Amino acid sequence: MLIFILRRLYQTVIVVIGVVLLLSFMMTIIPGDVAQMRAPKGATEEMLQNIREKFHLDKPFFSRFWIYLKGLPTFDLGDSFTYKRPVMDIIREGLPWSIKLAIVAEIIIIILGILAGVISSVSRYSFWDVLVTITTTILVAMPIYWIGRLLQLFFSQWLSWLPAAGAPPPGTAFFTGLKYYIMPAVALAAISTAYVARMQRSSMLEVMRQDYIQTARAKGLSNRRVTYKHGLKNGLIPVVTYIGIDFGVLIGAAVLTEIIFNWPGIGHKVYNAVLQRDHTMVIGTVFVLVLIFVFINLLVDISYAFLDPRIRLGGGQEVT
Amino acid sequence: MRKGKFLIILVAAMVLALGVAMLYSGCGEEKTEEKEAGAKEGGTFNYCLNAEPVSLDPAQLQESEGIAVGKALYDGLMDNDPDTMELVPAMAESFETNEDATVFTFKLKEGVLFHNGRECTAEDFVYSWNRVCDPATASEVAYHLAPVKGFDEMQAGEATELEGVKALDDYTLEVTLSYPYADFVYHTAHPVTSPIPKEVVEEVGSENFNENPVGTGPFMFDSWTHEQQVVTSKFEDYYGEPAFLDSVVYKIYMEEETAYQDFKAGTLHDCQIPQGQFAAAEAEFGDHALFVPMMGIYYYGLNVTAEPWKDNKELRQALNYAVDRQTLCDVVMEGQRLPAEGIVPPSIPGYQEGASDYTYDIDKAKELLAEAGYPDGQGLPALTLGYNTGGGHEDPAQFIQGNLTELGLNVTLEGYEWGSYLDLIQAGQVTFFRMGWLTDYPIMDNFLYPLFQSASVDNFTMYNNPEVDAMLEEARSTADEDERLELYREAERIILEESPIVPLMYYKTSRVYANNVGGYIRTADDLSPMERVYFIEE
Amino acid sequence: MRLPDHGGPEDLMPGKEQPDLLGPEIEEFELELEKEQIHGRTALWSDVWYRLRHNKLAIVGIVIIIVLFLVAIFAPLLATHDPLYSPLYDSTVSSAEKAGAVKQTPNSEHWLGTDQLGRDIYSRLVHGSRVSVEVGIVAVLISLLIGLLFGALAGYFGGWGDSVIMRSADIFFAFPTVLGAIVIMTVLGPGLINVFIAIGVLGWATIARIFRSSILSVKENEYVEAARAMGASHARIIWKHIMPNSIQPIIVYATMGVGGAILAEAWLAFLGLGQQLPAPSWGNMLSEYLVYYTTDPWMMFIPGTAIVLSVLAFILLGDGLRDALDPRLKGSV
Repeated sequence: MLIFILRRLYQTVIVVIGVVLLLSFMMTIIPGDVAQMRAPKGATEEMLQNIREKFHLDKPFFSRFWIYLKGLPTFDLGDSFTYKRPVMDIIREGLPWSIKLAIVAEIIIIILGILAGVISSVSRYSFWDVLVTITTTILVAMPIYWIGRLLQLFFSQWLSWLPAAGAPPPGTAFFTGLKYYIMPAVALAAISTAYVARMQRSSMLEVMRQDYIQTARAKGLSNRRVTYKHGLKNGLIPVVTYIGIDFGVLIGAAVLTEIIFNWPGIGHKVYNAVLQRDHTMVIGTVFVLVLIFVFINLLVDISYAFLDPRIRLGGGQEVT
Repeated sequence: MRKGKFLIILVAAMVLALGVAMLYSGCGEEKTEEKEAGAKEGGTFNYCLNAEPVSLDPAQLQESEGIAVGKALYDGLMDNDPDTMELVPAMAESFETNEDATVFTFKLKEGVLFHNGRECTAEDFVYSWNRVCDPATASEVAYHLAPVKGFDEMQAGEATELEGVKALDDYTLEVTLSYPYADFVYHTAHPVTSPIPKEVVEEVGSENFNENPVGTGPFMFDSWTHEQQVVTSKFEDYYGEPAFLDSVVYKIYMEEETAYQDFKAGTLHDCQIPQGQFAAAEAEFGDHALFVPMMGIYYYGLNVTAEPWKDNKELRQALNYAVDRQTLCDVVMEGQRLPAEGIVPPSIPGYQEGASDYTYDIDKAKELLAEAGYPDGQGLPALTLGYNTGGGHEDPAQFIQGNLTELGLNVTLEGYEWGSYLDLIQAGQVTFFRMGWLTDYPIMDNFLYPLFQSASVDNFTMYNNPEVDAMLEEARSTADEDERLELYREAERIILEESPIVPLMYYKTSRVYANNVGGYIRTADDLSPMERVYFIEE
Repeated sequence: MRLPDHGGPEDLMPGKEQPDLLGPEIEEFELELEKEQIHGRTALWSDVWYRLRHNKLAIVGIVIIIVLFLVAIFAPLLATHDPLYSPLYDSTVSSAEKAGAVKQTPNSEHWLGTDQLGRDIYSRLVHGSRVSVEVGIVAVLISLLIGLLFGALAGYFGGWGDSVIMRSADIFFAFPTVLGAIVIMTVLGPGLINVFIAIGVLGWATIARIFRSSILSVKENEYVEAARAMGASHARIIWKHIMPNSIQPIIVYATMGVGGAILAEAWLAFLGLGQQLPAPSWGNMLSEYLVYYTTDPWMMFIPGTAIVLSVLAFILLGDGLRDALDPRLKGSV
């Protein structure tokens, strides 16, 4: 078991370093002169050179990468080029918002997704099943920013029920504050909810076909009891795994959602940072995002390995 | 400079300086505003910012969000009258200029307090200006003080103090420039030149002043929740007319569209009108939708050193006759822009109507195109029209392409992202490009000198005309206002005739404010002085 | 292709690494596969088609896809106007007419109305279908090319090459998709070709993983061993014996990937990184019309519906293919 964990840990480290390397490289070849963008009007070549030195832009790629890499273990991610503050400070301000939004989205995914999946698998090919199938497919097929705009149009512009965007201002009461979460969380949750519903459906159908369910039925247990006691319980396992991993994805995936809903998370921060050629900010934020993602995956893997010893033998090797 | 001319200038400058000094002394008290019936004291105003301010340190104020907050926190020597953009005294009681516009002596008001309660004196200006120019501060906006003597030495790290700034006594500040520049006083209205207290900077550390700003402005800093809001409150001991509002909360939005929704829902008291909704907003909010001409120009530039623009004035002029500015402004921009036939917009003192005769005249354009050697566009290689994406420049770009196609040219569009756009233009890879220019000060110089002086870094068209260069230099050292403006006007006409740019539109503000708010205006530099704003009893 | 903002469940489920179809527990099916080797493939594919035909939703998908392709092919014939023409540019049109030419609601002259520059929305929509079809196909082909190559190398040969490829796949996989696309597009610059590349490059990792797992489960089979014993070359073994038996999950994934690529074009356009204007693409149109979502909300529904319908069609077909290829589900019907 220890060896398994160590091996996974080692792979995780490689992935994280690989992402940072890949990203540093891409940021280096992005067109656009970082110094020029930050230079005052009428800057001389000398002033540009000063800016380059300040951001280590005058050094060759690998020595810059090394300077950067050395800071990573202590979360010293350098200063943002644009905000002139430590990148870690900016992440510390934004990340809680991204996490909070992901949690609310996750709650929506769990409730709606599983409910829809159970309904459609229990009454297979019924009206409800078809409805769930079609709605979930449409949700997956919709551009997320359009979902966002539609929500704003209906609930903010026409009905005036919910604030159009933004996070609750400091000092807002809990329930008033919750209103701010609803639309961005729903938009963020839309695709995952659809996936969870579809997975729950197929996973439950699969479980219901298993021999032990047939046995339980043969033993005379009521259909309802079989469905909910055995079917739901066992059918939930893959879904729960997916939801766990999806949490890491949701935090980093909210770029478009955060832009549309003006959410103070790190999603749109990093987007702006790419446009502003704010190298440290882009790399630092993605580093933290990837770290969260692989860490959650690692936890899921390890708990899986505890539950199912077969994985330790190698089946889990290609899982990240 | 020739001796005779110098003498004339000298006399003129003396007369002017005297006049200016007399004009400005003692006119600081007439700030009382007429308030509407039902106006009340107090209240919290939720002001909309469209991005997080980069910094609140005066040494780092550059983008409109930072300046919007900075204007409330800091006052400087002078200010621009919000209605006319003319120069008015703020913390200065009066000022005098020497004969050749190189030495400015400011007399300061007494009893001006910082937010921490200490009186602000001339020494604080010396300290603050030195701090802005100190390389350790790494200010990106120190250029506002570039004309001050000793600026270059300071930036190069060869001096620790600006040679040109001296406190003669507590209430007298003397500024010496390294070259004659009569319009320098306009620079002292910019918040970058505002005084800040040394003891606070030393206490919190220069880098953290940004998070703990203290100034002499009508509002005091309370808190800054990054990505969310900046809270300020009324400064009771303000030297001028104190504000009516208790506090102003600057709410940070990343998206105009969502801010607009919140404005309609009543969460915000003002905001930008998103593109595409100008007409609707005007219909809905009437005179609370403010479309004020701004100090900026939206144009397409032609790199005059590159083919096919090089040495072909007729071709460049043909473009100027082929674009339908009126339709662009009225239909595509929904009346939110003013058609530009010149470079300097109407909100700037010295503006001349009819600086060029570029109207929409497709026949004239075709004539010129034939004269240029490309009858009906034949023989002209395909043109690529560059613009930067994401700023709403797509529709004007498509419209211009349509106009030029109508002329018979073969034009494709190329959208670039801002980060690489300027580089490509400067490297000469994009030779027909969209550009906008918003000025820091309401002076003609700020339009013509940076954009068309041959050695200026912002001269993207690579325009190089020794005659214009000489004219601009002469204007800068001409103390007589009328004479100076006439020189600028002449230079503007010459440049337009040579057509290195296709001026398209003058910007207008697009701001709405709430029904229960009074005293709210939008200035030509797209700001709203918060000290004039009040709520109305409903 | 991963869908924007999320990876699909297939990508993320540890338990699902081995696609159901080829899981070790389905011995009968493997036997059936072996028979295919002897009797040829026609029997299986006709089975698949038979099952697909009886899946109503999949048929809906197929019909939409056929319509989409027909529209894309015959776009110039179907369009009623020049998609680039606007009366605003026309020097013969009076200024009063120009003012009334923009944002017209649907009428007999302009079936779906006109846009903010007075162009015919219907004609732009018809021409825009070409971009969607191109992006869908080309991007997925790029993903397939890279993914299959690396997946085959990793799965078939194993060893350190396997480790390197799979770790690289992990790296691509851990990278947030939207950000990856933004970074690649800023490196390359906007434009349709670069859209192909960005979407294509980001999709390879998942395909490589799926294909590798498939190969792993197939390559130990007796018929592969037999071929190897008979001295067949690696290329021949991969192409003749492994490919046909490992490709099915890839087909399902690629079908859905076409939908994913169409969607990705849309959000790249939203970020200003898509097809160059004024050429119409559905993504460009949607993001242009979103600006007017409060004043003229009808506009955004036109390209929006077109995008949703075509993405939907590919998902439905992909779903149908999965069901049709998976005999267990068939058996339980």
